[in-house]
Amino acid sequence: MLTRRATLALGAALGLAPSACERAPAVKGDVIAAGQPAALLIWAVARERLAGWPRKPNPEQLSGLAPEAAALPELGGLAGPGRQAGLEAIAALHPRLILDYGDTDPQNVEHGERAQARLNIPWTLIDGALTRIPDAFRQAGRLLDARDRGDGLAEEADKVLTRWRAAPPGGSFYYARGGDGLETGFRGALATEVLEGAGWTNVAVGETDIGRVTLEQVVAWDPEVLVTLDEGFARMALHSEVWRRRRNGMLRRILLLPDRPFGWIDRPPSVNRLLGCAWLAAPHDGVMALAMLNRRLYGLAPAEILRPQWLA
Amino acid sequence: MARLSGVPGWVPAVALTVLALAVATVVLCSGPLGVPPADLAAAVFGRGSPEAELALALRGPRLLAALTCGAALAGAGAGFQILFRNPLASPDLLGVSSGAGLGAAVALLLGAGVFLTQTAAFIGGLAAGALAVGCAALTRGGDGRLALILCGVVAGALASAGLGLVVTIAEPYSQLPAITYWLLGSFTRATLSEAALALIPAAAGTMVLLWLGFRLDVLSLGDEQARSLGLSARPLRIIALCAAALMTSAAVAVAGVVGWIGLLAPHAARLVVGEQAGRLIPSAMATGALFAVLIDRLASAFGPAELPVGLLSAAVGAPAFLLLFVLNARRA
Repeated sequence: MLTRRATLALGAALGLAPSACERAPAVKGDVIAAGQPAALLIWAVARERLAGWPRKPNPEQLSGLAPEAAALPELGGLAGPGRQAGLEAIAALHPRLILDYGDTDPQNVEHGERAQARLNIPWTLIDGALTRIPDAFRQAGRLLDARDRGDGLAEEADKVLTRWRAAPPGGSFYYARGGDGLETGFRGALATEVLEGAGWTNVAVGETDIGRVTLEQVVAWDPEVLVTLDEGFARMALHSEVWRRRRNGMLRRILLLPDRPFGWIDRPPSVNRLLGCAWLAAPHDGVMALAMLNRRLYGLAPAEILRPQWLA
Repeated sequence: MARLSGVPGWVPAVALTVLALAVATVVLCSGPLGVPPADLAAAVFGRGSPEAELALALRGPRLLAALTCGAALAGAGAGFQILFRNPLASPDLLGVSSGAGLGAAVALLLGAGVFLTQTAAFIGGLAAGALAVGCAALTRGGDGRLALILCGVVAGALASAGLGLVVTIAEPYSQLPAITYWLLGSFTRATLSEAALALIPAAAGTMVLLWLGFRLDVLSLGDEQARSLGLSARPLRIIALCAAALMTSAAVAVAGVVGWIGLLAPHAARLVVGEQAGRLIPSAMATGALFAVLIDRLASAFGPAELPVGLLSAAVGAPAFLLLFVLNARRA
């Protein structure tokens, strides 16, 4: 029978022994986020319980999070986009819980049940619908032994969403994603839910959730406002006659929404979208309310909160 | 000409199989859970610690999937290369991998679970292969191999177009990542029963290819030569292609699209055992299994977040293939 030492020696010779980075990283938290949306939910409710990031935020994003965010390792995801975590590497961390946050469709439910059966670690999927964010905070608070914090966030989210639903209707808009602005969220998409729920009209109608369109199509839709999270695109569109000129000869406005540390209406579809809801509910309020919400979600009140900019 | 002409035909294949299994054993004994090999061995007989049981439950199916898929893809690749006398022939020559990818993507788009997705991949792969073989059968006379290659290109292109359409309309937050992840290949998603299930078609295809044995060598000489030796080329070729398509579909259904193994492993084995089908196919299968296990090990070597094996097999396989190709060409 192979001894452990002999195995490791043979493994090392073949390059098969566990490398330093393959061994389980030292983590303090005991809850695994299945994807980035779940990581943001856990971060808001009980950040000390988060074992690591499915995808580590970039330095720009980290600058908008409490300092301990930078110390958390990248573990990979167990659901959703990006690099996937090795199941054994996750098991080696001995987490108490795996939390997923998103669609509760049968496919996701089966995915969680399967992983739970294989890892023997409880897996909980919380409904990620925008309007159910308060419930998500409450549920996460109970699961993470942070009931007070979860309930407090839920109460605040309830207030924000109530005001957001009653927000004065905005105009028609086109949501420009990516550097060229030609990727968009079609009407009813998760990516545009924050704007549409506040009474704005998405001009882009399509069969899918996210898709690419042509500039000619955007011109034909003739939106009043171009909405984007991409500053590069916003600057380019600002100086582009084709993007700006409306069919009645007027210039359309460009709304640049913050995307740090995470997008206000999109990217990822998680509790970060509350900031977009809060701003749409009271666009003319001071920055204090937004700064407070930002602090509760991310653990840091930025010295100067990024505010949506109307470029016109 | 065989490189080991004085050695019985089964020796290289057995030696390579033993090597693949030895490496698989070492891989089975190492991992982030850090279970001692003795504890792991006890777990095989149901007497290990809970940690060892968990390690075995996670590593076992993964290794079985890697061994099965690596062997199946390599065996199918060897079969294709012999049949077509083409060193660039691979399991995707008939569009089987693309068809399997399309089947899986459609299933994921429709919200199917893992088992249904694997079944759809299997059916998609066989359907693409059947389309290529069926279309080629419509051409009477001429070079049957050329017709098969052209029809395979058509089947693959159609499947790729369908896949592109599915990717375009997939929901971007959950369906698209699932499809992308599936297409990039992984040995981790299969459970023990699913990996074991793939063994059945893979073994059936292997048996057929091995049974064909010397007939494949004759077929590789061309239809005229086969006829002069009393063999009916067309039905034999179709049987061989169906067997290879079966093996490829089984592998892709379990692991997703893992390229290069079917191209690389036969070349590596050819360096040792030569061109003869009876020697080349089993040796290529053992080499493919070894390559798949090593690639899977590499995938988990860069931290808790793993790299897709499809990416790694291309990154390692492409330069290795070039090296082997040059070596083979120099020795020919």
